[in-house]
Amino acid sequence: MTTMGRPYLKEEWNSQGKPGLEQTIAAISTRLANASDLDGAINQSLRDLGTVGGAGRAYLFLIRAEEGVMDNTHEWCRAGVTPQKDTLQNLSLSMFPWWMERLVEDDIICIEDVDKLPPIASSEKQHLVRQGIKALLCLPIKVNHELAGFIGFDNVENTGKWSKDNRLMLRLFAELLGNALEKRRAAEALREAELERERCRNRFIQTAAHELRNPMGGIKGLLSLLRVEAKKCKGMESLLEITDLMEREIDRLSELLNELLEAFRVQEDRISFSLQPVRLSDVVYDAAQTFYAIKGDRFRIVTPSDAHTLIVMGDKTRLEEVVRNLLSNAVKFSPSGGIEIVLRRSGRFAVVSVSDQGIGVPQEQTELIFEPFFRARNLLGRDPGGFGLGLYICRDIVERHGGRIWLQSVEGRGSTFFVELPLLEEGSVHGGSNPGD
Amino acid sequence: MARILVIEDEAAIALVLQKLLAGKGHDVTVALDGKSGWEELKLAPPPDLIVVDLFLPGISGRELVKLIRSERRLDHVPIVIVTGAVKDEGFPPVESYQALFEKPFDPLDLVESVNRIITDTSAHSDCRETSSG
Repeated sequence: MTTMGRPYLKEEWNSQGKPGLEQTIAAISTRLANASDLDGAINQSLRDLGTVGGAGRAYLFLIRAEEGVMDNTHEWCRAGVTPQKDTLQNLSLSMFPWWMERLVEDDIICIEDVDKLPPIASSEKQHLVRQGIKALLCLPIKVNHELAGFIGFDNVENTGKWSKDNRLMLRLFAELLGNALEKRRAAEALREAELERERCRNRFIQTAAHELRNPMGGIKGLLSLLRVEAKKCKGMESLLEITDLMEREIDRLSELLNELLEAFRVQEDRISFSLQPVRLSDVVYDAAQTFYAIKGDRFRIVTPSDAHTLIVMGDKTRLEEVVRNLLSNAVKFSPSGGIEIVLRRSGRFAVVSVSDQGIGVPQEQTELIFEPFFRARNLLGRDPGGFGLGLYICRDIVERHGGRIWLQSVEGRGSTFFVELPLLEEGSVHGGSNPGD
Repeated sequence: MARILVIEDEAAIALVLQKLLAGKGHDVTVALDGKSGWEELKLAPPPDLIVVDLFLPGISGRELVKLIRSERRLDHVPIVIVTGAVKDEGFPPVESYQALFEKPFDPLDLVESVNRIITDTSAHSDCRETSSG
């Protein structure tokens, strides 16, 4: 819309010594197309355009159509101009009927003198006057041919009318921005769909596992009963043997199921993983407790005198699971010999290591061992049992704590697993309470 | 001998528990869903121990545990939970039950645990009777 009154907008967005609108938009187009940080690119574009056009404020509003509201998402202000963004959130579209109609029609809104707005735009006028805006220029942004928002420039200095060329250039910018937003929306939708698919799959697995455990429990129970009955009769030794074998198979099935469940649970936790300050010595001792009780003479735990200061931001249950998994591996692959758990500080990290004197792992497999379904079958010469998900789960948990896990091993001599976790920096524990106190 | 109520919808498990517990001289009643389990609890005199599955049709085991613990007549009855659920998945608070078995469990372990709880409970109540009498 153009009015014939006193014009506030300058004729050309170009004055000597400044880059012209054309060059600015060319630079912006490259930036928007290659932006990994779209928000940053938008902010920079608004600044460049605002500066070239001599505007007081340049901004982007995005519409949330379902809720019937819009938000000022990005803003640039010239020095001395008060930012408005925070107050311009969640604005009902119904407050701007004339404005919205023009934008839906794909019109450029060009107000050269707010005082001269027609009565039909009285609601808009009220808002603009309250913000101290005298003149402005707004362009619609379309995503998928639907109005998604608008960019605007307030109080462009100097007077003059908008040239057709300049409007065309700004249209081009609006289009580029629309495309970039479209791309972002598509990526977000894709990510959300992926997450939902993952959640669905996990729910399915959980339910299936659940349903499988019931009949498994039934069979195990019946076998137990069978054994009790068989013991009552003479000459049933062979039946007892068969019962034992069947029970062992059921136990194996149950272990497999548990491992599978655990792997899915770890993945699902990707969505909800609760972190708190955790003292690593607590993790080590609590995790080792069961092993200690059974094979105490084989275990040695070494902690430094300042162990109480080794605190990480973590999920204690999950970290315990890592240590338990490493210990259970150590027991499995070293039928005899000592197992040592060492906790120490290494710069800004804490390191927990679990060493055994077992069969070890060939050099070329020390990384493969963390891959899902990798099995060290060839090492033992027999099936170690399980799916080979244990260390994969460990790595997942450790990496999600910002740490890393690795293995040093000499074949035939033993293995040491290292878990390195970033220490919580001093003073960053909120609330002042120490964990475990 | 004790009176035991087993509330379990997996018929095989219910059968095994009934046989094994009866084999140890207990008087066992089986309910195959939550609703009939709760009716049994309301109508019959309180049992000496309850074995309950967490996932039951009708009233869930979780709700049953809550109901039992909030009923004055029943709140002291020991509870043994059996479950096919994943660990920590909305289990009742630990103070509300005496033992928990994850499926598939060895029913002989459960029978042993039941016997121990019953012995402990009766020793406890004997003590109380002696000291109060």
